[in-house]
Amino acid sequence: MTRLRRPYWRLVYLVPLTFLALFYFYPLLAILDIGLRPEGWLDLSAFLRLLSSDYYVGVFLFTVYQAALSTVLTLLLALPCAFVFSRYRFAGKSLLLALATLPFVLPTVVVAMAFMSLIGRRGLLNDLLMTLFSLDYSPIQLERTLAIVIIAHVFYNFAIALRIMTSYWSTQGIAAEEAARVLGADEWALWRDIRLPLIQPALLSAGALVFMFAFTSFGVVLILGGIRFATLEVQIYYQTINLFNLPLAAALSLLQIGAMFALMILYTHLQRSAQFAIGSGKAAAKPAKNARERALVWGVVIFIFALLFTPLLALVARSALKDGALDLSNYLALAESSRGSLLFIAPIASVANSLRFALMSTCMALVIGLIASFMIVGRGPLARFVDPLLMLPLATSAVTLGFGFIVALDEPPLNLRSSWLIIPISHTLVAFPFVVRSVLPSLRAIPPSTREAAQVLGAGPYDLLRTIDLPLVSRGIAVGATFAFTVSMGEFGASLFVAQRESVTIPVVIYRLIGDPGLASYRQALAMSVILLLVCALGFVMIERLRVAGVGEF
Amino acid sequence: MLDPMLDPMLQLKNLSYVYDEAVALDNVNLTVAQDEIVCLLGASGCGKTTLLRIVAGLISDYAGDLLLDGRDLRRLPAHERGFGLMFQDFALFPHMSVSDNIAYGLRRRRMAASDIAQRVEEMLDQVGLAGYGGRSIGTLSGGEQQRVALARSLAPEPRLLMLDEPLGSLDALLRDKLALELREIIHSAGLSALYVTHDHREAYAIADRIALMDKGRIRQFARPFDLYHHPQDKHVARFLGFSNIFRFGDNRFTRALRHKFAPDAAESDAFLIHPDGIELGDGGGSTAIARRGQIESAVFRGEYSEVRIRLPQDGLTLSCKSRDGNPAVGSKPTVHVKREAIRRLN
Repeated sequence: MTRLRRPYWRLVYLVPLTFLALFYFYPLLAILDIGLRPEGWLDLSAFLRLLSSDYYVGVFLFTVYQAALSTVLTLLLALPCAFVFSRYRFAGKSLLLALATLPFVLPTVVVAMAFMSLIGRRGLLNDLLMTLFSLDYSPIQLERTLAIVIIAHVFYNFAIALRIMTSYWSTQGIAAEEAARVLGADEWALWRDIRLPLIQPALLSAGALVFMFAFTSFGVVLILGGIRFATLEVQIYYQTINLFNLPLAAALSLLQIGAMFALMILYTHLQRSAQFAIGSGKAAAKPAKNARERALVWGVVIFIFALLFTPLLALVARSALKDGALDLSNYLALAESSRGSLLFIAPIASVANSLRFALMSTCMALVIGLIASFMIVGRGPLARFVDPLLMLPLATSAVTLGFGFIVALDEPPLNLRSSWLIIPISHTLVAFPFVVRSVLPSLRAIPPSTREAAQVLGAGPYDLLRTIDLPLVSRGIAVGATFAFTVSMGEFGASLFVAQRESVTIPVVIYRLIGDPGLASYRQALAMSVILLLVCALGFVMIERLRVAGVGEF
Repeated sequence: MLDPMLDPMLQLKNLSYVYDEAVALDNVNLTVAQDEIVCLLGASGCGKTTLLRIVAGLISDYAGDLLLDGRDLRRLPAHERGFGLMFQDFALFPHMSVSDNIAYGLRRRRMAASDIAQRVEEMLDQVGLAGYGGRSIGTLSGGEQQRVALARSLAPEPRLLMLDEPLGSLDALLRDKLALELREIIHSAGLSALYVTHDHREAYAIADRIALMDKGRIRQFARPFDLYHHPQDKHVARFLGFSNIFRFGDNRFTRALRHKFAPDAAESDAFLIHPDGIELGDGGGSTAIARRGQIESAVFRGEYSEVRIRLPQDGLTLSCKSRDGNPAVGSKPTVHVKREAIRRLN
């Protein structure tokens, strides 16, 4: 491409490559080193011991089990909803579908707090039941059970499954269904012979994605489940922070990385076949015409509201209501550092930290993400393998990244262990793929002739960037920036590893507050969660408004 | 007009270009004189757009020489050449208004804002879009977009204007009208132009000279009149829509033609019977060879009819034009082939 014909322009390509080398591959290698050569020479015994230990095999199997359970439940619930969404037209449908994706940008700590507010020991439902039936104990005992973890996973992933299946189903014509009906198929046969086989590619693709998210779920399992339900992620954390058994943590990380890469390959494969099989017809959505169909539509709407919004409403209510009246004392308490607390700063101070880090991460993610996007659309020999390379961090769990950071970046020449810089850097690593995915589609959509027309009219490389490329992808950039900001605000897994006492972020503070036994800390956690919820919801609204044109791969 | 060969502004010498291991341009030699419109005519994939892109500076890894006023252009990047290029898909900037599109090249030349505004108004007037300046690109029709694209490439007064199938997306009626308009505009602006098209009628109408291209090579480079009357070889003749292409040894009739009009030719030599030299009916005179034919088909085209006529005794079919009404299929007029109808092909 003539735009970057002069060699020195290509030097900016080193920015994302260097960043990845230093903060992704180097930590990954350090994990490999500790896992496979704990004493300085190749020693697979720790790794093999891990593979043969009943306990850790159990941990691995449990990780798979809970992910599979979450996936099956999510798909089972999303399938009928997707059917209704693709077949019926009703007021507010697209708004509901957009709102349903809100959980995607919500931090895990907020979601965990929301479910604790609704169905936790001190939750709204328990309060209600205790008042109603004059009980002196909490009838719902879900905290620290597998059930609440799975429910939270469904909450997180429901919208993704719903969106994938709805959009896939909407492209399938109903001609095959009508043909089967004429040939004598009843409703049951329609599902078995036509609908399920047709939706299968989307079902598999959505399933793989949900499984990946549940497999790497950290915050939800840690907070709602606890050590009794430790997944690989939670074990890595415990082994590192509580037991300081780095070789074991490294070996677990390797297991995790290997599993994730295998899943990623499977997902890419499934997604490709799902795109390939998209039908040509258009299923016309119709208004519900009889009582049964209306009941179906209403049922789905109410279910989605119940699943997605009651936990969030419970959280807000818990934080700001006392005996049915507005009470902001929880928020006012945020300025105080409660005595005996594990925290050394007032919770509110973490808001400043989080905002500062999020702004820095957004800027860095924008620079790296934009350069990376230009690299990918460029015609150079790099482009082909840069795309999957840059997406690797997306397939690596935050806990693995955080663990890699503390084992790799703790000695010269890269000693960032005690620097607050390590937080925005880790957030950038997590956030910049979102910038790439948001910018890439609009960048790819610029026809080559548009750039060439500008060149012939006298635009040099810099003019081209300023007058053509950047204006044409500005929407994508804004979406990417908002994503990066929201992701950084809510980032939990990596931050928990690398945050120092004076540089803690909101999610870390919420986690520490939950860990405190006192009721005061719990109330502070509620208020902090609502603040974080509002910030992320605001980001979500911005993203939804900016991408009206439907650009962006998320 | 000066002899264009003597006064080349733009000169392509032995230009070759290989793309994806396929030869896109093969030893092309071409000149464009000051104030001249040269058409690159050929089927899609013949290399004409590639040639345009090389001249524009969008491709630089070609072999051979590209000279402007005798100066080598290879190291001069596209944005410093000061040429104009009108793209086939117009390539308008979707995020800018009509005025901003037209002003784009002027701004790159760092003209004063007031001069730019004035020039933009002039251009809008010239292409018949006065008052359209504030419109956004998305609201324009295809024809309007085409005019904006033309105005945008003309505005900076380029030394050389290149047009890539500029009328390609328009319907036939509009095309004839705009081809003439374009020629007017280009000449009145005193520009040199390279004009790419696949339509020989459009090329006849607009070009001072036509370079007929095929498979990356220039087959013939000539004035429209010469190209029409003396196509150089079979390929050129076929591309221009001629069909009476034979060898002198093909049959009795062609041998008779050779005997009377081209005794020095070999039996294996190819030739064209130019339809302008064929007459139907009683005329013809003594210099023509006459045969009784039978009309196979007649397509009415308005001013003339396109006739295919079979000569049963000789076993061949000729295409020609009839200006006397629309002859009936099956009727048997006499066919006269005059001396000047015989055009030898390489």
